[in-house]
Amino acid sequence: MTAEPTLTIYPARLVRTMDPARPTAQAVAVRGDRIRAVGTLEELKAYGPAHIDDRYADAVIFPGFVEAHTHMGSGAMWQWTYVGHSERTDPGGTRWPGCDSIEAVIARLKEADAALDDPTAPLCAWGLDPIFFPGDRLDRRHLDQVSSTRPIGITHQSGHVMTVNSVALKLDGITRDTAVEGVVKDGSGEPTGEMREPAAMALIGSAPSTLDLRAAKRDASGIKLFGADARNHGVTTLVDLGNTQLLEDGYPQWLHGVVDDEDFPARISIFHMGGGFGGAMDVPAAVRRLHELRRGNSDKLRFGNVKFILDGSNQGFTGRLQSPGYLPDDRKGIWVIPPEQFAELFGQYHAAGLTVHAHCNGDEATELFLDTVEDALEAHPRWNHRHTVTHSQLSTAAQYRRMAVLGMCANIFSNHTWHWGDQHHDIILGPDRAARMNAAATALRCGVPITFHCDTPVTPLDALATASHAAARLTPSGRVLGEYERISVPEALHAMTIGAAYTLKMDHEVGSIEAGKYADFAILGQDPFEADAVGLRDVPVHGSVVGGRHFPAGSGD
Amino acid sequence: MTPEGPLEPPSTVPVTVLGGYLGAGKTTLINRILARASGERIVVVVNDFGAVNIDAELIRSRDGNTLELANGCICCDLSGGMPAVMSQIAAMTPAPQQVLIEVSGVGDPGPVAAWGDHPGFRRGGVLVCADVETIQDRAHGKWVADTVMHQLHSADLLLLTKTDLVDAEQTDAVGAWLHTTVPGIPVLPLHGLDPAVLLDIAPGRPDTAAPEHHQPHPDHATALLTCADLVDREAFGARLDNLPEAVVRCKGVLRTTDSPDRRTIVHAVGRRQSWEDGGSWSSTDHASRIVLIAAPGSGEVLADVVREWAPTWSPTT
Ligand SMILES: Nc1nc2c(ncn2[C@@H]2O[C@H](COP(=O)(O)OP(=O)(O)O)[C@@H](O)[C@H]2O)c(=O)[nH]1
Ligand SMILES: [Mg+2]
Ligand SMILES: [Zn+2]
Ligand SMILES: [Zn+2]
Repeated sequence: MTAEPTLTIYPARLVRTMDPARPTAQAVAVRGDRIRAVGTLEELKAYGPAHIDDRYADAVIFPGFVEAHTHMGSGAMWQWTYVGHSERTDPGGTRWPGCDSIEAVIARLKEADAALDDPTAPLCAWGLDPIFFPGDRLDRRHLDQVSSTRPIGITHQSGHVMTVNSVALKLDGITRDTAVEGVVKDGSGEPTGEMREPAAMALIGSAPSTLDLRAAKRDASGIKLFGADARNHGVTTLVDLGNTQLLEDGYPQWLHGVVDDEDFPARISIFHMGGGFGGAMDVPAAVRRLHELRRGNSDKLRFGNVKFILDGSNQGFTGRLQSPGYLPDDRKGIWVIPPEQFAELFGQYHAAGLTVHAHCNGDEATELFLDTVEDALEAHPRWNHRHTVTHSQLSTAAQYRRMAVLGMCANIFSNHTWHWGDQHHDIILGPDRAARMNAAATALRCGVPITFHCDTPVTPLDALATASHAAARLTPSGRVLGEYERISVPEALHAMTIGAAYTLKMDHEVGSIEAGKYADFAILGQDPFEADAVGLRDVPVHGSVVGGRHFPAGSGD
Repeated sequence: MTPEGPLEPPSTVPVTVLGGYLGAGKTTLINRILARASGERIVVVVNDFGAVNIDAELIRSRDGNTLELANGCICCDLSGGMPAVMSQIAAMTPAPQQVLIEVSGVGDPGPVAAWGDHPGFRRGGVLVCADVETIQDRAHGKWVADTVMHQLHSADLLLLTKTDLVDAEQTDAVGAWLHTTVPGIPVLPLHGLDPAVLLDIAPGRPDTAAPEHHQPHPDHATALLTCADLVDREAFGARLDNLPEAVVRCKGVLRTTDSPDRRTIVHAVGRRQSWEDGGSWSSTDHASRIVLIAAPGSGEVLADVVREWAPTWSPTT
C-alpha cells in the first residue's frame, strides 16, 4: 500500500515565476504550504508520487502580490456607505462606481437610506472628496433630500471635514448659537452642516466620523474583510503600516488568533508605530516587546518592523515641502514629529537592529529621513537595514541617489497619479513637480529597490491597478503625468511582488515562485506581461493561493 | 458655594492651551502648576501627534488628572483621541476647575484652542513658551522655521523660558525681537511668574473677587477695582486690549449696558478675552468688580493703570 501522495502538481496555462533564473514554467509542485519545484510537467515527475490538480490549467499562476503599505482597519470601512470619486470594489465583490457629482452622492445615499429598515438609524458615509466638485459645496440641504428622519454624516476623504444633515444637527444640539470654531454657518447664521476639523467634528455623536481605525484593528470581522479584499486582488502578503497597540497585553495574541486561522487568506506584517500618531515613545520597552513578539512570529503573522510618520499629505497641503512650497502660496506643510525627536527615536530603533519605514510625502520629509539615516549609520554602521521611504511622492533625483548610497528602499505612492494626478497638476503642485512625483524610473536608474502601494483605505487595494498606474502614469483627464517617469510592465510587476517583499525582508520567503518559498500565488486570467501599461489594471484575478490553500475571489464572505 | 446663593449658572471650565517648540518648557511649566496646586481639580491633556507617554510620565500628577491621547489626522491612523478625552472631561463629577492642554512640539496651538468652544468649556487662552536660548535660531533654521513662527502667531501670551541660562540683555533682546516679529502679542518672562495667575485655579474667582480675599499671589501686584456705572462691553474690551503687557490677567464680573440684569463674566489672559453670562445678580450687590494682576516687579505699571482708569473704576481696599 502506498501512502497518499503529499505532493500536488498544478499545471497552468503559464507559470510566471518572477525568478529571472527560471522566468516561466508549465507547472508548480506544492507540498504542504511550500513550493517543492517549478518546471515542466515532465521535470516535476522527478519529485516522487504526486497528485495532479488541474483547477488552474487554464489560468496563469503568478506570485502572490505583496502590498507593503496598507492599513488593516480599512476592511471595516465597508460597514459604511462609500461616496468617493473613484470606483471601488468592496471585499464582497460589489462594484461601487465613483460618485462624480453631488447628484451622484445623493443618489448613492438614497439607495443606502432605502436599504435601512429602522428610519431613525444613522447613515454614515465616507470618501467624499470636494476637490473634485469645485464651485459646488455639499451641505445639509442636499442631505435633507435623503432623509428627514435619520442622522446622516459623511466623512470627507481628507478626514478633516464632515458634512451632516439637519437631523444630525438637531440631535446633536447644533444651532446658530453654537460657538465652536469649525461649525460652518451660512449668510443668515444657520449651520450649513459642514463641520471642519476635529473640535467641530466631535460634536457629531448621532452619525459619527468613520475614521476610528484604532477600534477597527480590534474587530475580527473587519480584519477578515481586509483579508477578503486582498484575496480578490491576488494579494497574499499585506502590511499593517502603523499599529499603535502592540504594547497592549493580549492584543498581539488576539491577532494571531485571527490571522493564523487557516481560513484567513493572507500573511500580514504588522509594523509598530514608533512615533507620530500615537506611537509609543518608550523605545527600550518597545524594542524589548518587538523582539519578544518576533520570537512568536508565525508563518502568517509577523512583527518586528517599525513605522514613523514625518509629515502630512500633499493633497491636504500638509506634506512637508522643500522650497518652493505649494502652488497656491508658499506654505510648506507640517511636521508630525519634531525633527530632532525623530532623530533620537529613530537612532534607537536603528541601533536595535530594526527596520524602519517612514512616511514622507513631501521632499523635505524625505530629506529629514535621509539626513537622519546617514547620521545613524555613522554612529552605528549597519548593513542590510532596508530602511524605506514610504510614499516618497516628491523625492528628488538627488535624494534617490542618496537612498542608493545609504542602502535604503522606496515604497512609492504611484496610485496618486491616477487618484489625484490632475489636482496635483492644476491645484496642488503645478505641472513641473506633478510630473516628477512618484519618480519610479528615476529610482530605478539610481539603483534604489522600489515597490508601490495603495495605502488603503486612502486608495483601493488592487495590486495590478497599482502596477498599472506606476507604468502608465495616466490621469483621469487623459494626461500622462511625467512621461519620463513611466516604467515597463515587468518592472512594475517586479515592484509589486519580489520588490515589495525585499522592503519587508521577506524576499527569501515570498514574492516569487521558487522551490522552498511559500506556495503563495495570484491566479490570473491572463499573462500580465502581455498586457500594456493601461490594460494591466483589467487583467482578471480569479483568486489566490496562500500556503497551498485555495481562496477563490469573491468566496466565503 | 458663593455667598450669592443658588442662582449660580453652571460655570464653564477654562481650557488653556500650552504651545511652543519641543523643549521650550511646556511640561516643566505644567509640573510647576501641579506642584503648587493643593486640591484644585486640574486636568492635564497631552495632545501630541506622537505618544504622550514620555511627557505624561514627566508630569507628576498631583491632585491632577493626566489624560493621555494621541490625536491623529491626515492619511494614516485617524484616531479619535481628543473627542473621547473631551467627553470624558465633560462627564467628570465634580467638574474640573481647569483643563490644561500641552500641544505637540510641532503642533499649532491655535486650532487646539477651539476645543474650548465646546459646551461647558471656555477658552482660557493660548500660552506659547519661547526658549530664549534657541527661539531665534529655530525661527531661522533649516527645518522648523515656519512651524515655530506659526506657534508664535497663535499665542495670546508669549512666555519667555530658560531666562536663567542667559543674561538680562539676551532676554531683553529676545523680547524686543518678538515684539517686532509677532507684534501685538504680549511677552513676559516666565521666571518669577506664578503660573496660577494665568489659570483659573487660584483663589479670587471673578464671582467672588471681593476685597476680603487675601492677596493670593505674593509676588504679583493685584488691583481690585469697582465701578458703579453700567459698563459698555466694547469700551471695556478696548480698555483690556490697551493694558500694558505686564498686566497679565484680568477677571471680572460686570454689569453691562446690554445686560444689566445679569452678571457678565470676563476673563483676559494676554490678548485673549472671554465673555460669558454669569447668571442673575444677588439681591445685595450689583456693582461691577474686577481684579487685575501684574507680573512680578510691575507694581508701578499697575498703579499707573489704576490712576488712568480712575474715577470710573475705583480701587477697593
Ligand atoms: N534652565 C532651565 N531649564 C528649563 C527651563 N524650562 C525647562 N527646562 C528644561 O528644558 C528641558 C525641556 O523642558 P520640557 O518642559 O520638557 O519642554 P517641552 O518639550 O516644551 O515640554 C527639560 O530638561 C527642562 O528641565 C527653564 O526655565 N530653565
Ligand atoms: Mg513636553
Ligand atoms: Zn502615510
Ligand atoms: Zn498609510
